[in-house]
Amino acid sequence: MNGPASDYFDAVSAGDRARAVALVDRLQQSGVTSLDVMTDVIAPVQTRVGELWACNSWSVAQEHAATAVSEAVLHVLGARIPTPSDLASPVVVSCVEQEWHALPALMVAEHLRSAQFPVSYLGANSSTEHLVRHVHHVAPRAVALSCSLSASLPRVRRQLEAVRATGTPVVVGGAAFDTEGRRAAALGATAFAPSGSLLPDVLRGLPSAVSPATPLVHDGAEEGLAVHADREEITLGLRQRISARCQAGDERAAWQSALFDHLPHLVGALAGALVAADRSILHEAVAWLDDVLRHRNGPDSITRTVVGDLRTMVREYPAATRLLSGLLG
Amino acid sequence: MTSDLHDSTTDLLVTPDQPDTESRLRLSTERATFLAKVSRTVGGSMQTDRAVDLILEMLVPEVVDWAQVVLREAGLLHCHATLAGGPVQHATVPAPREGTSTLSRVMSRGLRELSLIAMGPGATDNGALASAVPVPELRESVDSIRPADLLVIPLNARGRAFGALTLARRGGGGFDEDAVAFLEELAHSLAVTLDATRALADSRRVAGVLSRDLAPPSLPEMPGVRLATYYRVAFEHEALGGDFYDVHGDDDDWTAVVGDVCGKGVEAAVLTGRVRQATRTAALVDRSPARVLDLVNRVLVSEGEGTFVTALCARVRRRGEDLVMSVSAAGHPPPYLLRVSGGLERVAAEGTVLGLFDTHDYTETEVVLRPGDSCLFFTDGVLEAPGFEEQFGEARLHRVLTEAPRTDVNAVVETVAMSLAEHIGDRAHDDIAILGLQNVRDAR
Repeated sequence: MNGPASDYFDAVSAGDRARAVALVDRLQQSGVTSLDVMTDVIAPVQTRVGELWACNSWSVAQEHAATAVSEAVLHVLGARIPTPSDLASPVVVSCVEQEWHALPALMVAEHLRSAQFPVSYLGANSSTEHLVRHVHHVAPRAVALSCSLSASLPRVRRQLEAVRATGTPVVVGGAAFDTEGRRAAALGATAFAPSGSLLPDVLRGLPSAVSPATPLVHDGAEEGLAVHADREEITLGLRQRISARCQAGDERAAWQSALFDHLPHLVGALAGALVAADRSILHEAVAWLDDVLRHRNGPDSITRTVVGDLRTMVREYPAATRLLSGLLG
Repeated sequence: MTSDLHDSTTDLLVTPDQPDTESRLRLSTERATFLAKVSRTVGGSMQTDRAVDLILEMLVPEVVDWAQVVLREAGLLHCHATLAGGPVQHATVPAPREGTSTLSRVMSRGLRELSLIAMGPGATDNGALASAVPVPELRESVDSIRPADLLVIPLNARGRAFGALTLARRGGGGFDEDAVAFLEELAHSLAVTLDATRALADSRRVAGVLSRDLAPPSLPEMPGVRLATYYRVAFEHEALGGDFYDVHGDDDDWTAVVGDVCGKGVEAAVLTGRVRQATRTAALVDRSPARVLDLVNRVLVSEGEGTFVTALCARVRRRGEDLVMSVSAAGHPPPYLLRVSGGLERVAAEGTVLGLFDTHDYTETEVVLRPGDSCLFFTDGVLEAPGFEEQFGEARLHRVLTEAPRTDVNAVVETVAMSLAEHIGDRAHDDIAILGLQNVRDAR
């Protein structure tokens, strides 16, 4: 990491919000743009924080404290984005519902601002109702929807359906999508932006109005929406199955609490893979889980066992069962 | 992007040569399907300009080769037009005097007109064309397809025309009686949809102005104090609810209040506006929280509407590096204190709900916030937030707060908000408000 990034890392690992904000202020005063602060300082540090947690060097509490500092800094930066004038038809930038990490959306907002697009920034976790009401209120030229977690893809579908019903184009992007935009197309987005810096060009090519999204008809789409709707029940069932397998002494093992924390994401990734018609979503989620559990000394075949349990839980869904069977070989 | 709309193989304007029952039936079915598709597509858009663009993209090229929608508003004509294969063009021109052009005549009479167009060089200066298509660039685009007729149909709603739809077909193609009848039907359904959109835009603007006063206020900056809030309403489409928070006063002596009026939505929000105002007025006279609640209670009881309100009111004063807080409660869950050292305490504060009884028994509890300490006020929407198996509840809140990072009250509020959102999922829930405040004097 470069000098400022390393100083910033020290500030967030100490949970010192004031120091982190002061550092960002100093950088901005010396002429560094918000965008560069995010790209060169905050983003690499947050990636590092995630890695430290994943390899079990940091506790969840440490990771939360560090992330909370970065989120606070981003909040300060977000508040500095000027509100567009009444006349401008802005681009609404939002994170999909239930996603709390504002960094990607904020970076998108900054990219747009530097390309002279008026931006109406909604920030993290915008509910569908809130988003649609805002669309009615500001009549944007388009909505840019950021999604970082593949488990959120069913929510992307729900939100873009609601926005497209108002005739407004929806551009999606973020870490939950593949670089070719196949998942975006399967979900029914008007367009896909492979990166924040490419979004201005994508926006220039959009129609001024779009027709409502057509229903998802591909194999497994309905199952994906059903799994998403039942995710809590499925997660709970998985927890019970795993607990039943473990001996009493294992209860507080690090791998087990990490596994329990990640079950909702695994179930969500199954729903995401079905709704976005891309099995690699599930493969990536399982590989990530396997990695996390290995760093916490989980039993050798634990990931495989969990995937098998998940397959049992969703056995009434043929497409989901096929996907999971593919993983088990 | 509208390719899914262009799947029709039948020309919707051409009546078959042999008008046998089967082909007639097919034509009427396709026309009906098209009309339904138009209302479905345009109906969701609550913004007039966007709805008009959608209409044009559906009409061209599926039905006609060129189309224009003109909307009259405050002495101006907003013109949208599109030629097959091109984008929608926009222009605004002053409205001509009544009766001096085809457009104004169609709109003032509310009756359609079919004009014959002279073709050939110089046709763009043609009076009939200029009279129906007032913008020169749009005139050029329609002239380029050499139409035989221009059909101008008024967009009528609520007894007057607010605009007109102008249509043209390529290469001398015109409109027969049957086609005109279908297009009038189409224009009628478009007019109804567009009129609803326009009416909605008006009422939305009025509602926007009114709700600005009822939505949670942005909080003042207090030296040495960090404030954090979370607000989520039960009826998200109304964006207003019965929970409220407010902070007002001087830098070193101020009032924080969090409350919950019975009911949800706009009606509840109107009452929160009154309670917030009463609180502000009362605090101007005497900042003692017990006296403030006492006064607000008297106001509500005297109004005698039988509505009740729960609230927490705190007076916050600076004493050296500490913040001294006097807390009074009226039927409201007491606040949590989060010590920077890691301790978690519940402030003992209780009292009768506001608005039901003529009591004067509000008491005050004093607590001290050392540098770094935080205090969290919240409404019972937090505790009662529905989950898959059970409500969020005191125990879960206690656990979340115990584990929350203490360095920053923003992080505390965000941690609670995240747990709540995860717990609630897509379930219906009550209004929720959280107000956190932190003593950040010397807490660099």
